[in-house]
Amino acid sequence: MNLLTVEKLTKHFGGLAAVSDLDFTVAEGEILALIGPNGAGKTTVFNMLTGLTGITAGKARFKDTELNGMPPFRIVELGLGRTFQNIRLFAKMSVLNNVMVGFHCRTRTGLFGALIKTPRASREYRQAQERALELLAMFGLDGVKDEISRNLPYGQQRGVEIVRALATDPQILLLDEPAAGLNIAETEILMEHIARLRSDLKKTVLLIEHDMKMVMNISDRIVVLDYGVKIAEGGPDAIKADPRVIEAYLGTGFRKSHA
Amino acid sequence: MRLRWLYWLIGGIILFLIPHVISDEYWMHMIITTGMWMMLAVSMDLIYGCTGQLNLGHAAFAAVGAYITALLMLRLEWSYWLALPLSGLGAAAVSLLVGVPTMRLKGLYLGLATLGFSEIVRLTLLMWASVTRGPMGLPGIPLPTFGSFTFESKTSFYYMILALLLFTVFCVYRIIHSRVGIALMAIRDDEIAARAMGIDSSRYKILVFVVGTFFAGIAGSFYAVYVSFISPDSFKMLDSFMIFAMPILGGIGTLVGPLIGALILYVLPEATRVFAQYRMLWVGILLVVTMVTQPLGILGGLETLAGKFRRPKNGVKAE
Amino acid sequence: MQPLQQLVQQIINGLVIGSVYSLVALGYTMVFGILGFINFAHGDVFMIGTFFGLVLLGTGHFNFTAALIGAALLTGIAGVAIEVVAYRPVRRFGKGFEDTMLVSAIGVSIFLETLAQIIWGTETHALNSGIHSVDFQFWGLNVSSIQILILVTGVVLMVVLHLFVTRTVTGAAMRATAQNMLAARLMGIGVNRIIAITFAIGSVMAAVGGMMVGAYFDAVYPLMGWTAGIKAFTAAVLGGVGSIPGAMVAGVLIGLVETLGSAYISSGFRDGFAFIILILTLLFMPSGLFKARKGEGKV
Repeated sequence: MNLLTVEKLTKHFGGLAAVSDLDFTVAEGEILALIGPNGAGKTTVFNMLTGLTGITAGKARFKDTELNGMPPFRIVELGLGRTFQNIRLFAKMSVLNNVMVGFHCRTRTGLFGALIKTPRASREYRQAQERALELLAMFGLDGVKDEISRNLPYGQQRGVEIVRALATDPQILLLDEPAAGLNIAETEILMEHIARLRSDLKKTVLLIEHDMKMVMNISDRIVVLDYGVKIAEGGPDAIKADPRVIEAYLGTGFRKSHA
Repeated sequence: MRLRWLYWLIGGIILFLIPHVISDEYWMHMIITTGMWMMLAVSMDLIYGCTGQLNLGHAAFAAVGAYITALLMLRLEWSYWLALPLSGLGAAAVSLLVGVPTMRLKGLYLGLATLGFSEIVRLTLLMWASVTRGPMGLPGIPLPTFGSFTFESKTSFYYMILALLLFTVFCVYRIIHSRVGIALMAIRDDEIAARAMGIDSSRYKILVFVVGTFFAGIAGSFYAVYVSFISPDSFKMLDSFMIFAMPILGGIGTLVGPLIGALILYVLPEATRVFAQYRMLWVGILLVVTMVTQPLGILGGLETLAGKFRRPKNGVKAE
Repeated sequence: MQPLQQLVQQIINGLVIGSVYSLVALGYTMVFGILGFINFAHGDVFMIGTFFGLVLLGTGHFNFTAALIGAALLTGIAGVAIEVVAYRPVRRFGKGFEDTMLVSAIGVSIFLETLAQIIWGTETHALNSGIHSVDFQFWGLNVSSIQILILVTGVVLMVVLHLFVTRTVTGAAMRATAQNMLAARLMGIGVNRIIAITFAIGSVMAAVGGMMVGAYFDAVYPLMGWTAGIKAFTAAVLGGVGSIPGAMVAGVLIGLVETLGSAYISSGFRDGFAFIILILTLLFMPSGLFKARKGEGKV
């Protein structure tokens, strides 16, 4: 089943077409990578899918529900979670509380429950905390649960952001350049985590990435964007050899010298 | 912290005994007034410290509460105990008039909107003379009664404001330490990220406005029966600035911060007999100095100090 | 006076007061363009400038022009002092402290207003500018020489500013800093110096505007910074914060609306017109006429 369907998705910023007529689908359980040179429009696609930016034309659908015009928090409730290219953790909050934020859309205590501290409210809070610790432990982060998030090293902050997104209990996770700023060792760990997202937690993953080694290693399929237009789609081997992709990244000189 | 309950008990006893120990009317008046400022500061910080919404017109909501109480008691001869909650609700309802249209404004623009609104309130109270008697104000507001007991002495008012303040602090505490509180803090740190994590930030921003102004209305209601006379000048724009400055000095987003701020900004000048005009001079200076040296306020400064002495965990040092 | 002449008369009056608003609005807009920050205390700088002038005139050693220049210089220094003491240290904290700077500005504003009230009391003082205003009458209109002076000064200052910003090296540095502070710094531009210059220019223009207003109405009072500040701020927003031509045009617009509204609708509501424009702009056109730069204050 296709979790995510994108049809003729288009975004215009004034006169600039950031994304044009994009079509792709993400099937349940797969890991799809969205790649392309800088400025190709990848993050814009994410922003449209998660409601942070409006869709100029075309449709985006999560299973059968149309995402056009839906506010971000509703989209999260549907089952799309995301991380950001430049990490957007809640800087002054602790790691644990950052993850707790993720649980917000899956819990129900409101003002009344907070004031009266009903048994249900306490139970909910406690359960969320326990689950948060579980998730953090899965990623080796439970040791820093009380640290203020902006004090953590970059690699750990990335991890926390992923855990926070997981707390929203998504069916599909949108990861925006998760390897950015990570060194080789951290990237290896990240790759293991992403693989586990699928194998252990049964999540579908849509990922934007520049690190080709990682992309080729963990993706089932790849969609390539250049100047907002899809120029190729297929498995890692096909994409690696695709001349249009090579040209987009390296320019035409390369092709000529190999002609 | 096994002995925590002991500290609470001692604190409670001290608070209880204060009016029996202090007989000076002037000091009791100061303490009672400080209680009101504390209520206003804490409730205001719920709006600013917790969601980052600049509210520079908080005193106006207290004015609304005061007038509702005064009018209900004077014109309709209702009991204070009915007027009190209605004042809070009335102020909260009025806050929707501000909160909803300005939902999309941020920072200074929101601040100016709240300022403008507080002016509108003041002008309305001034001009609607048929109801409010305009600049002449409403004198002779009756004292609250409970059965045969009349709240007349400073001691009785002290206990009342103490109860109201504790109620306010309790509610704010519960809110901060709950699912709602987590959402609020997220909104304050990064509203867009909060929305991306499933939080309906607009709803919470309004919620917090309504709750905060509810307590302001209650504080205003207390003021009305405490001094028995109110006028449109009872709650000035300058008061809103003072209320705003209090959590800033003490530490925004905390429970204790606004309380400390209220002590510093109100009690200190009073206690040192600083002339009223010069007080605002100090407020201005203190604001600048605080922002330039320790924007997180006194509490923030203490935390930073404490942090320097904390042992590093896992090789990661707390800043 | 016939209706058409009345209209033209009011338009002239509006242009005059509007040019003052433009001058003050420029201070808001230039600082915002570079720092992304609204100097809440700018209106009070305007007020201080006027009081500097009052003091200088009071000594009896200065005529109006000299007092104007003196006040402008003093105010320029004051503006820079405020930036160095209250804003620059906050910038050192890095990003994410915009609210902090705003609160600091509020503190400065409170301080200045209170100081003025302590020294001069809350009543209105006469400026005693010693200017002899001559009235010119033509076409049934009445234009005073002060009005002409204000208009001319305003236009001259704005032209000079425009030339300065577009034709000089420092002006180019200012524009560069406004567009990308980091890049400007990397290009060797002394960003702090540029910021100080921006504050100085804004304060000087505000002082000139203040002196003009003080002479025009022959009245100064400590809270005049508040009223003029809000109106000038409205002009900055209406024109699009960060846009210099925007501030120039919008200031005049507000002056016109205010004067015409005051003459034809209700004179008691005079100060309210600007406020209404502000609310409408914020709600419906927050990026202003000329498109704001560096964020708009809307979520």
